[in-house]
Amino acid sequence: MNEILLSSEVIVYLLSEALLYLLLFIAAIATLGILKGWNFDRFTKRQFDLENRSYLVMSIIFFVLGLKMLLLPYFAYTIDALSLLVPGAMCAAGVIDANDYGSPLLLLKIIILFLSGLWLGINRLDLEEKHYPYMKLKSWFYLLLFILLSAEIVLDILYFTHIETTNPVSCCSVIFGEIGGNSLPLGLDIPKLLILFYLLYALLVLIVFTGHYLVRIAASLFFAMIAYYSVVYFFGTYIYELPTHRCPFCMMQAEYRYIGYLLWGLLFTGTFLAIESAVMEGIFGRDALKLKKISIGFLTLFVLLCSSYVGLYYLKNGVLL
Amino acid sequence: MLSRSPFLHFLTLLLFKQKSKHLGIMSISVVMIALVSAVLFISSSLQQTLQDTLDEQADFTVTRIEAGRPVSTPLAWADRIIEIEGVSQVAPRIHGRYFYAPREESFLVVGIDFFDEQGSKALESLVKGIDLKQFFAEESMIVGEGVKAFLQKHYYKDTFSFKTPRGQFKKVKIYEVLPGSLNLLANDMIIMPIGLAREIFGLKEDEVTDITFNVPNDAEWDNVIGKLHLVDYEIRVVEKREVEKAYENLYNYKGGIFLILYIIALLTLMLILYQRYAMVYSHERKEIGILRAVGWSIRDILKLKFYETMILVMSSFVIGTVAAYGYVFVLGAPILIEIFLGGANLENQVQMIPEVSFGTLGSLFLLYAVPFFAAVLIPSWRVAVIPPKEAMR
Amino acid sequence: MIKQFIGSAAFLMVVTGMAVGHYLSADKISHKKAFSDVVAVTGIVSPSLSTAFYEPAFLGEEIEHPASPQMQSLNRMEFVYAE
Repeated sequence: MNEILLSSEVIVYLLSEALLYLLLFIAAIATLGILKGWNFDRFTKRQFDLENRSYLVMSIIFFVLGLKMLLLPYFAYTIDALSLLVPGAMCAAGVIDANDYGSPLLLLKIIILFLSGLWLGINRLDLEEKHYPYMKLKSWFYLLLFILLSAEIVLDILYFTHIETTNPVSCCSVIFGEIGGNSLPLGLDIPKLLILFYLLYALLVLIVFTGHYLVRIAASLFFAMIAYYSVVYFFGTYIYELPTHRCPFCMMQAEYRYIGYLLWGLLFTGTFLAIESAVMEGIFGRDALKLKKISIGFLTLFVLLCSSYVGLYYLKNGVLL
Repeated sequence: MLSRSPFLHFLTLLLFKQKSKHLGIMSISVVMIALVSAVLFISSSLQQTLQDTLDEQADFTVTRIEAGRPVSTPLAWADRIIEIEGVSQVAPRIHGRYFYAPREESFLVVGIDFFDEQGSKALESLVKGIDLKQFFAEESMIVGEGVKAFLQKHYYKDTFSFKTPRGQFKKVKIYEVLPGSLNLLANDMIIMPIGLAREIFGLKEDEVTDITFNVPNDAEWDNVIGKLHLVDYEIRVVEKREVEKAYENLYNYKGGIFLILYIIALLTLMLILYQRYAMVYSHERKEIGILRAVGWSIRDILKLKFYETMILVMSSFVIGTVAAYGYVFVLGAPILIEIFLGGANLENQVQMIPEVSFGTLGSLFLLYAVPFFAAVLIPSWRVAVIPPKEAMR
Repeated sequence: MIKQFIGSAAFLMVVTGMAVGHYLSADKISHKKAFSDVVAVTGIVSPSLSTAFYEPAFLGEEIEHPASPQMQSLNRMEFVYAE
């Protein structure tokens, strides 16, 4: 038993995850039953029970996924709080690299949130119809999600039980800074990165109301990636007001008014809604005007927020970093 | 607009109609939340207060160890430590606990140096209107509130007689009492001139309790530790980094052990909730049946149940945390604070600095809301899918 | 929404508002300054633990009980603040 597991945030986090997983497990078993016996055209008691059971699955997933959205920022907060216990770590970046499970876990969490958002979208479509046309689809989709969720809980436990409090880890300036030999992907430099960032944003705004679904999905994903690098390597330095400070996590701390949660939240939801709208229109042939409007709104806010840090810094100091 | 929504109207009507059903659950929840919030509030406030003083702390403290026990440190070490490069503000200290045998209670006596400029300045701002020259010239002391209360109780009005190890009595005047807001750090503290403290503890002229010093450049720290061990083999070095970590652990250990035990209580609460919601009275069944009969879908009923639970969770959360806030930061957490500060010695009535972070509140909310919803979800679904015909029977 | 509900919601808001008000109006800076002053004067950084004489009074300090080195009571502060 090490100090990590006695940290109250970790206890709360693992307890919540475990309880939610229990519910998800029940939902998965119910889903298996639904997949086995589902036939909407039959009027048997069994079919009637299955329909009722699908409501259970739906409410569980609805509730769990809602909480998962809260738990992702809470996870970031937890590992940030652990940075005081792990020697060498200044923020969550060091803690997440404390063992090999950290980064895959974070990535998995984001993927799960993405997919579960899509699940909720399909579920909404399904309920709008009278005879549950997507029941099979969403059940299979849920089973896939459940496999990922199982992997997540295993990784959660492995990650938190394997953080060493005696081994020093590297701090964020080493992981993302020049010392670590890290550079931007695709041979980009900062000006090119920024040009790409704004161009992709403009492209997204332009094509979001057209019909090129695949292009829209690809553009959104590419924008998310470029935005991540732009924030870490350029906009972040203005948030920290320090040209050498490059870190996606430090901005979630109280010194920077928790701006990181807002920033990453906007980018995540904006990108997600853009992709969801493309999927809704492309695969299911639905009209997703509202989704598109919200997603563009979020992404615009994100871009404005990033740029405003640069602008404010310039106004205050008269120079750029 | 919102208040006209028939759904909300019905929801709130239902809530108050089934008052007695909800009140029981709410009161258990409020007690549970208040308890866990109080513990977390106390520990985060203590931790924050201690973290805030970190800037003033010395980077290193060294003492002499003999057979694993700290013993008095030779003053000569101070001169040798000054010679190490990068070291500044070397200060020999004398402090220790004075045992008052008749009551088996003890005070923390701290000797301070008149020539320590920073300390003198801090003392002046701490005790308004103190005449430093007068204070250091005569045999007087500044005591914490706990010490003052203890002395009053034992009829030491203005002076107290210390018994030195040589068997003499030393009469010391009470110069001033530290404000009660400092009780967290200074409740059992007696501040006096360093010479007087040396006499009371019976230390020789060339002995001190320990030596503190700063090393302004962090990069030098490990280097300095290496050099310190060359000063003497019996040296023990305490770093500020360790102290900092101890503060973090202080919070975690207490909060953590408590939380792990608390999980058992939470599971019990879940069981109670599950039972309570699974037990459906016939009139409730009838209600659901009527709702289904007038055209509500299963989804609508689930929605109703969800909002009902949501309101319960939110209101008990708010009542619980606010109650804990008042208990800890307005009343000073009587009784519970003894777990954190102990109760074996002088009585301590601390006044805590309010410190509630979003993180703490988030933890509390997750800790309570997740089990609550998880326990209620399945029974609510069971009720919602009762066929209307069966329910009305 | 019925009146009772609005009434109790308002009550909760007021109570929360009072707590928030207390929190915001608390004079943290002068407290912090006073605590820093105490540490600057004394150099003692441990909270004033109310411990028995043979127990460690500072966090992180180790003293053995001279009479019964094996026995430890649960009420000891070092049990609580183990490292």
